[in-house]
Amino acid sequence: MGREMRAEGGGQGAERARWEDAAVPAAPYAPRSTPHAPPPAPLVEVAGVRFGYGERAVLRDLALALAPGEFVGLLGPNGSGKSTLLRLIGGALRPAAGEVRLAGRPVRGWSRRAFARRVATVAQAPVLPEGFTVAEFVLLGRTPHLPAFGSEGPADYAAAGAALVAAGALDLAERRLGELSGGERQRVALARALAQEPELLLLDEPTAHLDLGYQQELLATLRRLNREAGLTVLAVLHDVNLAAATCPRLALLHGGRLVADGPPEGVVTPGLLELAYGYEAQVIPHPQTGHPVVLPRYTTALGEGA
Amino acid sequence: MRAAGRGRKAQGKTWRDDPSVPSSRFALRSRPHAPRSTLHALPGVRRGARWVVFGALALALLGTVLVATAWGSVSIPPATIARMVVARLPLPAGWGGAVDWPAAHETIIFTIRLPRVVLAGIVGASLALAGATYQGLFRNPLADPYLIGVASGAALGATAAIVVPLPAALYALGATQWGAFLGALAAVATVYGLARVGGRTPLTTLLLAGVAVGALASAATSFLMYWHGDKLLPIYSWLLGGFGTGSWRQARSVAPYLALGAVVLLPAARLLNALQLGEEGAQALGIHVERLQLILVVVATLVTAAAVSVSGLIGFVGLIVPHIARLLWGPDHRTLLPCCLLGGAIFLIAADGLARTVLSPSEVPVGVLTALCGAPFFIFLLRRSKRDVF
Repeated sequence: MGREMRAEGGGQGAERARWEDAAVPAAPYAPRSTPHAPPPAPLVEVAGVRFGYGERAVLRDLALALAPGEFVGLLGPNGSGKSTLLRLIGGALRPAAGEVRLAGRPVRGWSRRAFARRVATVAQAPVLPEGFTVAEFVLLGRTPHLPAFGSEGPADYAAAGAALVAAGALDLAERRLGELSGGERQRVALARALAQEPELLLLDEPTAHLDLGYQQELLATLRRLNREAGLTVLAVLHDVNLAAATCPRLALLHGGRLVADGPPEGVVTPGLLELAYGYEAQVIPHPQTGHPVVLPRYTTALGEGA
Repeated sequence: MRAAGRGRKAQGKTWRDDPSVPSSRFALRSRPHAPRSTLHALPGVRRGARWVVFGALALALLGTVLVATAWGSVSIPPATIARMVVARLPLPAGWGGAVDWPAAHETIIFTIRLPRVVLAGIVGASLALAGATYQGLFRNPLADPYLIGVASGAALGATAAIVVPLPAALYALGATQWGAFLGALAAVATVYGLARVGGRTPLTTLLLAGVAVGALASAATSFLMYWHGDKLLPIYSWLLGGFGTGSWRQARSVAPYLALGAVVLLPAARLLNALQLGEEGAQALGIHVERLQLILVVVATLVTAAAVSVSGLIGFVGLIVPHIARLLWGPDHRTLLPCCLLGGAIFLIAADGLARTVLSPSEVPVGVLTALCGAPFFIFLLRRSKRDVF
């Protein structure tokens, strides 16, 4: 949907057209401020965290820190603990040992409401209760900003509207959740999280089940929010190439440990891919951007066996 | 429709051009906002129609009460009934008009029909409100107020109170009613206690424990019925449910629980909406999910138990009224709960009115009628509206 409308200059003064126009993410965004010189205090600190489901250890002595305004992609094979780490940071799970801190304070020390005003999560398969309209659903994201028995006011409509615009979902506002396609569901889930006006956005494989165009569009939206609004983003990503092209910093999990952390060039390497995924690959720089691009080698399992 | 009910701003303006509204962190600076729009608040937010629906339902309830009170072997016109009620209100003299009805009619209305109608209304409202709460809480359209042991507990309590030889004075004070009420609460408390695992109460465990405790209590009830064959008729007529003995005393004893339910559950409607995101999703919005669930279960159970204790087991109201309301007016609990409150009362008053007049002078059990009128209407709505319910 958004892809067709990406072409500039849709509105000819007609009101409806301008609403749709406003929903389209615009291309050029000026960075809000100059890059900060001294490293600021970390927004999120994961210090020596251990976690397991029953006997099985999932995370072992994991340490990770995110500065405000960072955009970090979390990579790793299935079962490496990516989602678990995200849920620990999001407060849904408690570490067995170690500590997760938000803005210097342990996650457990935050009140749930105050925490929810700072951290929002987009789940891997977001629950979208059918029958509600998109706008009603996105307004639910205002819950941490409202008194327990309160109801929404103009400021909440403004925040929800801005979230819908930022997620490129304003044109969906009147639709019912049950009628949305996969790509629309992801945008709506993102809008719901943005309506919380968080500082930190956690996303668990937001591009799963999306086609190539939507994957790119979603990550572009996130990157824009990161640059323009200073939103700190931590996203679990499956597609290594997409992650390398989007994220200035990547973290690679393997067996519950962080095996690499840094700019894409240092993380997406044949050696680390072989170690983490057991995947033999060649890595070449992208001809235009220079980002590392993974090319499969297809030697062992596919080529020789046939 | 959207413009109604929100008088804070001039019509035709939106959050986009109201300078008093602080702009969001995520408002895009690089795009000019649409300067004018006919959209009032936010497209897709259905709010204004709510109060129209509430008003219409309240009027319908009033009409149903009048018509149901007028129904019966002695026909009394609704207008006369309305004037009788007005005459009893503490109004300046001359307001109610002349008394031109026989005193016997006034007795029929105020000691027989009106208490029964009011009681049916309170019970219907209670069951529908509790049903909608349970359905939202369990995120399951098949949930009804009897789900986690209320019905079987109340049945066991009432049966026990009937078979245990108690002094007649206690029965006059409503021993059966108290037996049912305490039985229902005990059953739900047992279910909740059983389902509690390490400080958490997973909803699936709650449902399973409800099934198990319900089966146990039903077995005990069956045993008591079998052992006291001579009491079979009173037990069975209690189980079938009805308002044949409806009195002001019963109405007074249930009304506070419905009031409690309304005071707690209606303001919690938005939180109930948020619970639709799932437990983890709701928690991520800063909600104390466990605490909220406990409050909702306790209040909904109290409301249901009180209703069941005076009416017996009347099925379908708590299941079907919320469904109909959802199909007609959408899933937002802020609309749904008040609509269930009013619609449940209308539904059960009408059903009870039919129950006592259809085969007059004998009565049809009202539970039979609720199923008889409820089920086909439900099927009709389901077929008509192809969109999903939940």
